[in-house]
Amino acid sequence: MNSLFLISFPVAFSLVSLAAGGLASSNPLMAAAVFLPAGVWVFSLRRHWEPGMGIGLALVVVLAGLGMWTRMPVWAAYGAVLAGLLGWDIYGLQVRAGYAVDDDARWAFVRRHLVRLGLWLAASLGLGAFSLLGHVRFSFNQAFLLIVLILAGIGLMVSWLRKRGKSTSV
Amino acid sequence: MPRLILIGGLLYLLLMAGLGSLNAGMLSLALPLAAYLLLGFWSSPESSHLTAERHLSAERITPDGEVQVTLRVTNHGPAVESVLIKDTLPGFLEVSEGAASQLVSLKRGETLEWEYTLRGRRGFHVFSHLDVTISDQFGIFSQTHRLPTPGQLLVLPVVPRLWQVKIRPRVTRIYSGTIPARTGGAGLEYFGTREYQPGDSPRWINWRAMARHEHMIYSNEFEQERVADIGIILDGRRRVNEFPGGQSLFEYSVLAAASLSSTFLSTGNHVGLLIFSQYVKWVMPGYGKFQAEKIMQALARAEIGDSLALSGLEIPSRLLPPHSQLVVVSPLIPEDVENLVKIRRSGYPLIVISPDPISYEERISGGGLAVETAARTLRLRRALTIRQLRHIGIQVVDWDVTQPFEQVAQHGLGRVPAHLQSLGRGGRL
Repeated sequence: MNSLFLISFPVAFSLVSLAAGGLASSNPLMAAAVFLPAGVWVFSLRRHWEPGMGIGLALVVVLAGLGMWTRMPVWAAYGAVLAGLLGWDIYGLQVRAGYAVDDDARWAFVRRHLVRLGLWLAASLGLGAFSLLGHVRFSFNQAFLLIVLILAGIGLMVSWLRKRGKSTSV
Repeated sequence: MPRLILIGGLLYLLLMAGLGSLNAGMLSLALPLAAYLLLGFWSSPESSHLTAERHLSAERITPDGEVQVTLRVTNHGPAVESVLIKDTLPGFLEVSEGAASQLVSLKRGETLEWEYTLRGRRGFHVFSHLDVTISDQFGIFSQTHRLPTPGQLLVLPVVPRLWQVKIRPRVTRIYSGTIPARTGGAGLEYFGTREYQPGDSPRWINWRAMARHEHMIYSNEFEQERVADIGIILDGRRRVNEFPGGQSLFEYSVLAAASLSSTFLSTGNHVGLLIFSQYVKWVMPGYGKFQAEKIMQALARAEIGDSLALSGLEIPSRLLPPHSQLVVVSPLIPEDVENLVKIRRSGYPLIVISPDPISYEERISGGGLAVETAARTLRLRRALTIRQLRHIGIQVVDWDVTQPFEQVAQHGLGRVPAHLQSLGRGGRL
């Protein structure tokens, strides 16, 4: 029940965010298209069909991308992608944690995953907040350069963390 | 891998669409996906340094028995955050306690040991490997490996105990046993009366016959009991055993073969087994417990196959000399009559144990007028087939599998039919 809520909440948030973005951009077709990933997700959750969750996520991302093209507010599209990815990830976590036999092992796995997920959420929200709340307006070239820098920065950080992890892993 | 393809594909799509449409917002949507991928990459495993061992508490169990499987997986490399270990089991085995899969994280040098309990139906399984999937915490960068963990498990068939099976083959072996040998001598059953010979026990003297003939002394003779050569033929053809919905009569045939071989061997006979399915498989005739074990192992491994007719069936006379007793366990179809007649004519006394396929199929079909009509027609054909076989001296036991085999065998094989009893008996005055 709890895991269903944990999955349903971000999934619903993602759909509502996408629909609200569609309405805010006076694009009712986009708002109506939300029913497509909604249907796929509901079907997948009811039938425990794992690939369906991925299909739902892909639909949300594609709709958010199209929304950005039709002047949907960035917060709505960004929120939809973020929440959709979160829901998809928690569903995968639920499936994989089901293989753990021992309760302690399961909770340790879930805890470690949630910490990692929190880290990712904080980073993504930080980047989102930076672009939204700071009212930063970039030209395309500036935005592209910034994204390349961000990706390179995260990549360098990750490779440094991996090296550090290898030398300290016991 | 599909998770990586999904996230990577969406990231690529957003980046390409953003670059193509010169839309900065679209590019910004790629950031959460990129962060997710990179975070997964952070903890992705480099290569597997896992080894595994398997221990089974028993390699041979009965269907009501259980076996404990102990698995030990050791990580000789760097720590791995997510290790999913799955032990693949065949359909005839089920986990009764514990689980055949595990999700754990393993530190460097750490060993995971876990146990689970299996039980199952008849069958044979070779455990060759464990499927191990190591991945990062998000399950994006994963690698699947097979760790060799050899082992094997044999689930023997059920063996109902039979009280006695009476057979009368024409030829027996020289060792004493329980099969009437059609020869006078020491024994229990009256065989005939002959002239007294020096050395005969006074208790054998037939006083009534002596009273009727002056100056003559007669002795009773008893039928010798010896062991016999017996061949059990198990029909494993798919076309006669398998029914719609994966239902099969073969398990019943195996049960009957196991029960008969066990009974014959326990009374000292020389028993062999032939399984006629995809290929013809022989268990050479032999005596005793060792032979019983060989036959049980062969029956545990027996599977149905695609052979079509019994016509390919040849009984090598060096294994089972003519006049040895043959027992065929087969659901029977009318086309088999010709081949069974051929075997009978080559000198082998034949008993056919036939699990009734019509009642079985009628039951699994769920009834109905059409089914009932078809069953009635098929029953007539089966009755005709059985009559043809009986007509040429083949003893047929028609077994409705809802009845316990012990009961049916007791009724059908507990005594020799009258028309076979008279064959080869000694002379009577």
